[in-house]
Amino acid sequence: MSDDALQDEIAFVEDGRRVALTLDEELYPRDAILGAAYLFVDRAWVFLSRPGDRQVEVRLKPKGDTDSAALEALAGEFANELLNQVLRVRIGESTGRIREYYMARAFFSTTTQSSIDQLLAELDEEELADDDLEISVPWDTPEPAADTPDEGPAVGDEEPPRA
Amino acid sequence: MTRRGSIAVTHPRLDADKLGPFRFGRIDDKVLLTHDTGQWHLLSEPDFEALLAGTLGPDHPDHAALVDKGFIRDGMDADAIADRLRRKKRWLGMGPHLHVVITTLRCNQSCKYCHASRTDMDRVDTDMSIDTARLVVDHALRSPSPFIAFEFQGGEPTVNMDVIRFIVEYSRERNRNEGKTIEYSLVTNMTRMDEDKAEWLLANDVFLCTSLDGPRHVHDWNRPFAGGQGSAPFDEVMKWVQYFNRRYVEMGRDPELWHVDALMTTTRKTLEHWREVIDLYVSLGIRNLYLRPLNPFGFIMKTWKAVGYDQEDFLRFYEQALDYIIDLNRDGVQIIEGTAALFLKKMLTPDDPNFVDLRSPIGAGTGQIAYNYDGTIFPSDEGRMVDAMGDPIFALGRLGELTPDEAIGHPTVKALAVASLLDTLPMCSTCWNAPYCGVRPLHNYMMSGDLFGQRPNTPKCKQHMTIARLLFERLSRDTDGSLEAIFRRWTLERPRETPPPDLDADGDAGASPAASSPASGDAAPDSAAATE
Amino acid sequence: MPELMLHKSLYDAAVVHQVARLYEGVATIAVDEDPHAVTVRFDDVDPDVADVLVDHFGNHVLVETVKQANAAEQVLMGDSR
Repeated sequence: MSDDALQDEIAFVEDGRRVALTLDEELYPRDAILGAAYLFVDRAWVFLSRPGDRQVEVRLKPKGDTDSAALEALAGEFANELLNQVLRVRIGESTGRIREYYMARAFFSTTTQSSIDQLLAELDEEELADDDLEISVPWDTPEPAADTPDEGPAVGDEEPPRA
Repeated sequence: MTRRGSIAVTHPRLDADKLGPFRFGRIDDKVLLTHDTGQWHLLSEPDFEALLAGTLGPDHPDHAALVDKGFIRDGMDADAIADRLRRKKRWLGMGPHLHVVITTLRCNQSCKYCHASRTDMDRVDTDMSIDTARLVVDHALRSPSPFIAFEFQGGEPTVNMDVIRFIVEYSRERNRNEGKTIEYSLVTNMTRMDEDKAEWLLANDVFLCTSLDGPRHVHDWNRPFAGGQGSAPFDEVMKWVQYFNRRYVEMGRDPELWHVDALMTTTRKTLEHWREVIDLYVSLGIRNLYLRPLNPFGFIMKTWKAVGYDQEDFLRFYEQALDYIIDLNRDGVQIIEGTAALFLKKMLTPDDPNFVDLRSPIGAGTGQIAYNYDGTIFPSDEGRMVDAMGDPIFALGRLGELTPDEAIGHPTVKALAVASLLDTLPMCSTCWNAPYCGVRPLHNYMMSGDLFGQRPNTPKCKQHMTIARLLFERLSRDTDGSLEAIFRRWTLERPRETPPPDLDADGDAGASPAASSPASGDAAPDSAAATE
Repeated sequence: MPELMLHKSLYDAAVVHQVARLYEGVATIAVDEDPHAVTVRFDDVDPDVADVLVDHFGNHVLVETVKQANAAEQVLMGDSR
């Protein structure tokens, strides 16, 4: 199933010493945030906190320059890496069992899956059963899912970072 | 004063169920996809977005390749991928092939960066005994590996030539019943060489590898004689490299296969004279130059201020030197940069060089064993170096007491494997360089006291990322394929006895289709002497 | 005295205790837990590291948390990324 392209604005605040980004965990899963945060420990002191339900604040205190431009650049780099990490998590969730299949096939004499065709058929069935997008929910169902992200047009003036 | 702002981001359209498992990163203005099998593909940003969205269809010129490499799910042959992966990791379970023997700690040189923790020449108590040497051979030949490489190191190993002779002769005798392929290599500073030793080494097919840090003023500054003796180490190296290379020719050996190899250790002095170093290697006919950085073992921990440098300085030097070496190749000079060649073998061939320090998991204990002069067994020579600095944490046990099975299954060996399995390490598990990289738990231990280290703060991580990035950048810009032809030549290995039939007399398969599947599968693994 | 509050949904509480023990040589460290957070209080900080201790501690706990999460994930489902 396909997720459409989504525009988002990540808010940040900087105080001349550090910059903090506030992230919606619906859009940025915890694993993606942790993955991106880990990559910045050479450049910054990184601290995570929870300003609200399903929100994560990432505070970056650079080890080097801390002028306003440097802080904003650092926030931009973090946002770019976060997008990469979100992609990695989502691709990983979808392809994990295929990877397990060929790893098992390569390194173990027996494997629980008899063939890749069978595995792919199972994945298709799971995909239908999961129904994350609630395709099976009638269109006239009155209450939308509470955790559906807001896909409203929240595009700022800035050039979007490379996804 | 605080300032608020926002960053506009676009999450690309994603149809993950149409994708295969892959890692990705950016090279120049392209997106690099890499697969567990080592296969890779460069896409433009728009094509990458189409791939993610599931709209890169069969009419796209890259579609078939992306399916074949396992990046697109529909049509993917997962069983073929499993076969490729098995071939890439064929060394798993084979057992240690590299057996590093410390014949003595005595050394007549006092190198500014000495990693080996030498002792003075009167310390005969740091010589290996014949009884211990016998146990080394007995232990090594019980490895399940069909290929065994004895590598003599020190100190200066030729100070204890009797043990070298014994190990070569005794292992040959024992191997009549074992039927393994055995190679011998000697890492020597050449300053204790004489004709008797040289002729014996030639007659017994012991490969020679010497330390050569550059022209006289660099080499002798880095590697002075202990006690300030008058003669110049550089002259000794020159004399004996030329002697051996001349004798190989006189013996009718192919000089491309039979020649003295050399290792260079980069100090601050080298950075200033990098071009002279390369020119010297070329003038001596040395075909493989490893641009090795300093490692955090031994005396260097005390002398860093005098000879060390910033990581960024080393990486700048590496890039300049790599490009110069590439230019020389374009002019027909056959010289390769060793670490780049290791990465290229992983990137451009279906095989893996099984270099014990650049694989996942690392070869410490499972691909390599080091035997100290006193019979202590270590998972690697670096473990022995840590011990020499007063920390015995990596000692596995003693010859005659610890069986080979116990050594391989030792908790320390398992810990090193876990700490170097890229699939389990944060950052590494998602890194585009994972199929080509390897981490060094002992370096991490020396730098931070932790086998795992913090990847972004680890010098080796930056080095490996930079080297792989430099290679991919150059391949990405290689519009006429001429550089790939050079790089493929760097990946070729052939056994010293008989060249494979598909190579011409120069051993150069060039950019022919046959070279796309280089015949390195049966080649001997690289020596640890070239450890970065 | 500096204090650090680490939310349990973001940081591994067991890791916080482990890392705290590693820093005992440079400060007196008290670790308290409630259902949501782990609070780390630093007293008697070695003046040589006073400026950087909390920052180092924070990165250290983060790195170890990610390491634990990664390892657990591999055990459960293999690395799928």
